[in-house]
Amino acid sequence: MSKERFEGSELLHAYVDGELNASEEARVEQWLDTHPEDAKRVREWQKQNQGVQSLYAGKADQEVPSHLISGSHPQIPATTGPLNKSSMLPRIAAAILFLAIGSLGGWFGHDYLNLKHNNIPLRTVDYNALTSPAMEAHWVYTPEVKHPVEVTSDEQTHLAKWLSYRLEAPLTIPDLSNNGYQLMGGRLLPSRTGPAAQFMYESTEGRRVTVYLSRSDTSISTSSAREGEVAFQFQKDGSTRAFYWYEGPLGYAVIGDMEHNELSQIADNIYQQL
Amino acid sequence: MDEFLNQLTQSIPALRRYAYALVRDSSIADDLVQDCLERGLNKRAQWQGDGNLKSWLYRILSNIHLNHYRSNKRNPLAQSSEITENLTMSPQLQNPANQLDRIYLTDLDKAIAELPEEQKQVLLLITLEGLSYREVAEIKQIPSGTVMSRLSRARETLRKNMASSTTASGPSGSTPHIRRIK
Repeated sequence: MSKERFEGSELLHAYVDGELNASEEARVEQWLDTHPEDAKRVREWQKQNQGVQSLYAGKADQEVPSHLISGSHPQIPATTGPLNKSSMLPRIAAAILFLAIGSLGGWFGHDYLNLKHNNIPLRTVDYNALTSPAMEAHWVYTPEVKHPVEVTSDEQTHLAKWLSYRLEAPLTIPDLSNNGYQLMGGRLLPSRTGPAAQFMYESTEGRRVTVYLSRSDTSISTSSAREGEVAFQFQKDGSTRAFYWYEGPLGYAVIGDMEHNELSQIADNIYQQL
Repeated sequence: MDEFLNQLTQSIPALRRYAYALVRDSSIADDLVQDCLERGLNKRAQWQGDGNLKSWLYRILSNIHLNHYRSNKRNPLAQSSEITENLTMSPQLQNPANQLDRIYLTDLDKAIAELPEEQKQVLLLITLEGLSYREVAEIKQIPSGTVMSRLSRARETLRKNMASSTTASGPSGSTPHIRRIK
């Protein structure tokens, strides 16, 4: 670990977490001898670390429940043989629990959004009409374990036809494999401007992105159509970010819980394909 | 048993510990771990054999946790903590090496539960799982500067919230907490 990596209070954190080599540690200790305020902070953080250990570390010493091992990889007792996905233990109870949590989360997310609206009166019309329901739908459906989508990607052709018919506009389902996300499927949703569509994608590591489409308000679509160019707009709520734009009769929103740059690349990719 | 399953099995205790600290409920934590293990198995083809499987599992678990529990604070199910209830019985707390007082631990437990999930994950990966800043940056796929800032914000929030509770706690040990209703 080079000295340049840490400076100021970072050095103190690094000291507490054992990230420093011996000479750096000695330097920090010298500093602490003459800076009682910093020494106090360091002691507080060390106490926090010790507290975290006292509170939770014992969990790793507990015996692992047998259902965890047999449930997730029943093939372990056998020393050979390929993995068999279908032998996964059904997880109905867990699914019900997650369903409950998912819908609660959605409900509370909904409340939270309303609260925000009250606090911040200066929301533009297009935010309310597109990003707000798109984010709500993202929060409601991405936590789903059992039913994240209504129609799975196995029926991709049908999905595109069906949603095109309902939204009265030809839809292309974007391919995000270049960004590391695979289509899970999609669903039909209600919106203020009629039927809306949500497509969900998942990375190999379980991160989920949704793409939301709804018919845009006529006022917005005509103005953007006249200009003949599309402007990406950005919205952030907590760790959830959205890029959205209008093109033709539709408004598009790409929602994800990720860094700005990564989501921006996905939005670009989608725009290229439409 | 092949190397993948071997490493996977060995990672379970640490994953349970991490999941438990994130959600503070044994059964929810085990569901989280099971979901993580199943995903790990399903995607084993994508695992690069030379990579560290445990880091990869930490990453999957962190993502699942964010997906499922993003609305944690607004979710009353997640508010109950077994730790607070079990504090009096925990043998570790009677160990003189861990003589942090009970009120402090109860408050710390609550303060950690109230941290934003992203900060909580970084804090726990470092202080509980003992991972280096570099490993956490890899697991979370964020720059090391972001690891530092999340860690320092988490600690600062804990310190502030703890300061108000430690000064207020009398000998009775029962500090009334004002619950904010949104």
